[in-house]
Amino acid sequence: MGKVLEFFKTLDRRIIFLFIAIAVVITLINPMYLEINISKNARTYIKVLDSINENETVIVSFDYAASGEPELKPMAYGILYRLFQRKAKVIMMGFWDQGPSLADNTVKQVIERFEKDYPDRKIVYGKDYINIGYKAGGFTVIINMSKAIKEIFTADKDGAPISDFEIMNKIDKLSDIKMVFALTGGNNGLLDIWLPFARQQYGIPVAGGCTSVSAPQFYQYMNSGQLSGLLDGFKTAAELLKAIELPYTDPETKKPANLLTKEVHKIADVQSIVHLIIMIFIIIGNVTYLYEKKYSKQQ
Amino acid sequence: MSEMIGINIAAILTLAIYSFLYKDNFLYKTAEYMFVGTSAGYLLSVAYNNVIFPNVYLPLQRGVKTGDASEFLVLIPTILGLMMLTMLIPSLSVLSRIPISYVVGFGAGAGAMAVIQTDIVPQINATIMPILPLTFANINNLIVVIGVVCSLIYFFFSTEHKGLVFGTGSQIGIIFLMITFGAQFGTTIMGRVQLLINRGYFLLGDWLHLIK
Repeated sequence: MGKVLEFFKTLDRRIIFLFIAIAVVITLINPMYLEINISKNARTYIKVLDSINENETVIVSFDYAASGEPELKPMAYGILYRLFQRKAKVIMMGFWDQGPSLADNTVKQVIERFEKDYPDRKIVYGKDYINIGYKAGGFTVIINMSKAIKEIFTADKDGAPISDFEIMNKIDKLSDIKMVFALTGGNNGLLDIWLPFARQQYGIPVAGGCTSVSAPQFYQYMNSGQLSGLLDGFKTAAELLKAIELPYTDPETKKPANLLTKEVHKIADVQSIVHLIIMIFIIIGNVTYLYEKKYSKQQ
Repeated sequence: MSEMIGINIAAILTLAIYSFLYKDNFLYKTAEYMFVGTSAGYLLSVAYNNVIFPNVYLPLQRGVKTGDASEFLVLIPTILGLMMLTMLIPSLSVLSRIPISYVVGFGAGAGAMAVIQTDIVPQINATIMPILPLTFANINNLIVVIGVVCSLIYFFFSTEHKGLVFGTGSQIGIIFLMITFGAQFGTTIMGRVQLLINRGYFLLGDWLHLIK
């Protein structure tokens, strides 16, 4: 028993890394497409998205950098797609410098997919959506947006005057915005800008999306009703994509097709398998600890 | 062709960073320094293009052209900003206190109300919930109330943690705190694993074309 105990006690961390790496490689190459169940959070989010009506304007704030993209991009993809389905007007912006550029890449992919799914609809820049870019200043930007959006955002991300775009015709102040969807990769976003200022001070409903690392900080705002909806990491992002139905039937399953792509499904598979491995190592670690305690008492 | 070169460089740098998992080495250090250097350079260009150019240079240029005195008001925040840099010169560093006190004062003034409206009143409100009659929903409410009260007792250090209220309360508080830390640990792993999978997908898919 002593030898086994010693083996696990002195287990090189690199062996754990190796197990995880092997699991990632094998599962990505041979996915199992495990079932994804739609949770209450994802269902609530769909209801929130469906509360946006035709021609109503929303802000989607991309407050994250490349490191947050693996978790937040699927959320942004689902949110933008659903908003286009709802025929809403979308203003994209960001309190993180990389955010608006990442927004451009995402919306490009969403439009490509959307126009394939809905051949009779064209999503036009400046009419259906706009990217007003990055603005430094944190909550002071929100305070100024509550007075005059076009004074603080004079040009779009590429420098064209913002007033030239049809989408901005009826938008003067923050109160003209129906809802804010803030996707946040850390500080300077949902928790310290949109929620305390846009939601609490100016009464604009805010729905959020965050990385799983920061998720526990946000649950309390869901419980208190301050957040209209919350996507807490990749798992709920995948659920959201699954919950968004497409306008045709899946030829394989004969059921309504959804936005969950094979790529996202594969990644969800890897998440499950890697978590299983980590759980096994946690159990081994705890059992070793308890045995060691018992063993040392017996000595 | 240029995309292929970009993918190869990204793949090599990804592997260089992951080589740290085996042990610290030259490749890792090279990739790390490149990351820090390019990030700093990128942020400088972002600050210039998004802050200094539109908010300082353009108004001053307009002011010089039109003679509009109001355009020169940007000199006040610009000078305050430059005064921040006096921190680097010991004999002048006292000047940096003026912009810092302005920033702290403004932040505290604007933030105080936001904190009360966001974190204090609504959160206390959300904890005042019905616990009777004992339905499933009310049992859930009861757990929340017990969790909040006991966790607060644990952080109450003015009285020794003994007896039914403070002793047992703080012990229950520890259990709730441990559950919270466990949840935090779980979600942290989930986030980090997601980053790993993303890189794995890039290496196996975009670089090696092994994913169909």
